[in-house]
Amino acid sequence: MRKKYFAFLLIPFSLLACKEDPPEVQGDLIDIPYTPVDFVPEIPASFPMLEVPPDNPLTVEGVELGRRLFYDPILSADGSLSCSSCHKPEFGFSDPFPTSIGVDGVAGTRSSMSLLNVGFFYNGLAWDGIHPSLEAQASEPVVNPVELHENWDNVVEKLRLHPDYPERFRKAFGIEDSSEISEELATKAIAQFERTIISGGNSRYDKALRGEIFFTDAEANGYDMFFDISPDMPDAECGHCHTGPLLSVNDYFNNGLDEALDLNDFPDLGRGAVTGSIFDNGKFRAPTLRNIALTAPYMHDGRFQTLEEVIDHYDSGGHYADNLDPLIYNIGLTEDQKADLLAFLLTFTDTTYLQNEALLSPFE
Amino acid sequence: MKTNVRTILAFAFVLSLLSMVGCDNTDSNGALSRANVNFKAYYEGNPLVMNQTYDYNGIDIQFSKVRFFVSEISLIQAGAETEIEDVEMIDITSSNTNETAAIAGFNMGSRTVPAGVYDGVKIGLGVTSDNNSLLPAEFSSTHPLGDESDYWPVWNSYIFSKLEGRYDADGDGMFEGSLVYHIGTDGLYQMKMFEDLSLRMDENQSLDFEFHIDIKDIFRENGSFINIETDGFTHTDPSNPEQMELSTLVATNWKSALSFNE
Repeated sequence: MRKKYFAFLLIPFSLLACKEDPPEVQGDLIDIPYTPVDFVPEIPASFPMLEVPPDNPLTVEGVELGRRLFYDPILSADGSLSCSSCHKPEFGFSDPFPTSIGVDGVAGTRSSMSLLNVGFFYNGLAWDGIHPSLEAQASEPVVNPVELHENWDNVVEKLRLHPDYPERFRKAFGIEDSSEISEELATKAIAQFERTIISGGNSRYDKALRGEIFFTDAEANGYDMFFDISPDMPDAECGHCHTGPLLSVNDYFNNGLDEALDLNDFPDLGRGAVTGSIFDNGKFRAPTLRNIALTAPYMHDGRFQTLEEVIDHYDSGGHYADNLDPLIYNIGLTEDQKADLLAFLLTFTDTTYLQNEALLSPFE
Repeated sequence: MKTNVRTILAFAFVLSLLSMVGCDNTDSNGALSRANVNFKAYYEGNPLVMNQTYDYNGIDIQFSKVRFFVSEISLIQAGAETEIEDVEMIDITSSNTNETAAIAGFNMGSRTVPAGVYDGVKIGLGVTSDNNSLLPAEFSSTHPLGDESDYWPVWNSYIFSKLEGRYDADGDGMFEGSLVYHIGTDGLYQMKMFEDLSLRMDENQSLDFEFHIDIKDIFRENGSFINIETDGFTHTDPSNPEQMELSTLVATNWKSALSFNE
């Protein structure tokens, strides 16, 4: 009889043993109000619509949390670097170095891309388009050994124990307990902030298109060559890959940076490493030219220090490969024409975004 | 007697209504069928594979980009049109990446149509003037008209078709020649009709619609072929008569190169 009672007592214990430890949800944040407010970004009139994932709508609280995470070195292994370390506002949210240096002092292989207007881009993000979304992209630098070299478990733990972040996660996402802070929510917040990094509408280029100013003669000549407006000037072929309000297209090109007699010979396979197609080897995303004067050095590996070098490269026709874009060929611009083209490129500069404190560090 | 006359007249009226319905081969009961629309690209009759080498009158040539807009795809029955697609981008570049994929072609997808028997198909090559007055920024990124790379601001026009590639003019194995045909502007919109067809679209069934285009035919010129070494480039610059002449030739050839496989 006693054996039967003993067996009966064992059953609940065995059930408990089989069950995983319950999450430590104690509701430590539940008293903090969760009343998110829609964030409505100011988008220049000519820009396309900002497409936001349905599961990550912009809110004032989410954008602000994202801004803090973007500028906070808490995401790095040694607390020395943040997203903003390689995406500095004053350089068009890019890095003035050819390739960025990570927390271990090791340089990466690619130049930091400008984040200006990044929320409007699709068909893959980064030079090779490996990231399907801003949310996915925001996850990678944290764990990349040549970037922040941290792991997300540590980051999440630091955020949970932080005196300020749990409340901000609550206000942004409605979590009830600090234990619900996660990589997913952190990257969502960063993506929200990045979608608000918008620049446009106040450059000389924008004003000239609106008829508010006239281009100088040099700028007008450059405009002509950039978009092949008249047969009297050479066609510099720029406008095929840098067009529309964002001065970019969502596509990948071999612009002749490296010779490759075999398509496997490229030092960096670029898009090809993502798609697996040999014909995509050596292709990279066409970046935006908005604020191009601020985002030196240029190309995916930062090989060109100046826009003059960039113009010389395209004028030369670049280096041969079977998949060299057919729009890359020897153009034969004169030095005056190159100078005019440069003058036009400088009309893309618009630093008014730097006056928007909501885009700058909250810690300074 | 009056009643009989009324009865006869009423009967005749009903009969005439029925006969009118009988003349209409579309199903008046709202029965639906589906059209599976597919585009297959060829080069001299062989499935066109992107980046594969073909012979162009003794010159090796490779195509790296073939894409074009189609508009106002409609089924026709006794002159009445039923539009099944307003505008779509046919991107052979993305579909014809290898031999197998090239045989399968570009699948535009399935469109719902009223069941019935149709005697013709209409298709526009390019973008209608109504749509061409709009800008990519007015569309979502997934809409066919939402891609900035398909718009040329200087023309205020979408680029109706892009044909790009490289050729090896001197036979040294290096494809150093550039081929770029970018065609656009309202005047070069082409409408093509395929008539005297018998397309039976049965209720709850689907019918495959296959459009074929032979890329080699796009290069036809006066019984021969375009010299791509001298005329391998056009952006359809309206201020450049030579480019406009070449673009007009390419646009009309594109129309001629398109066939419908019943």
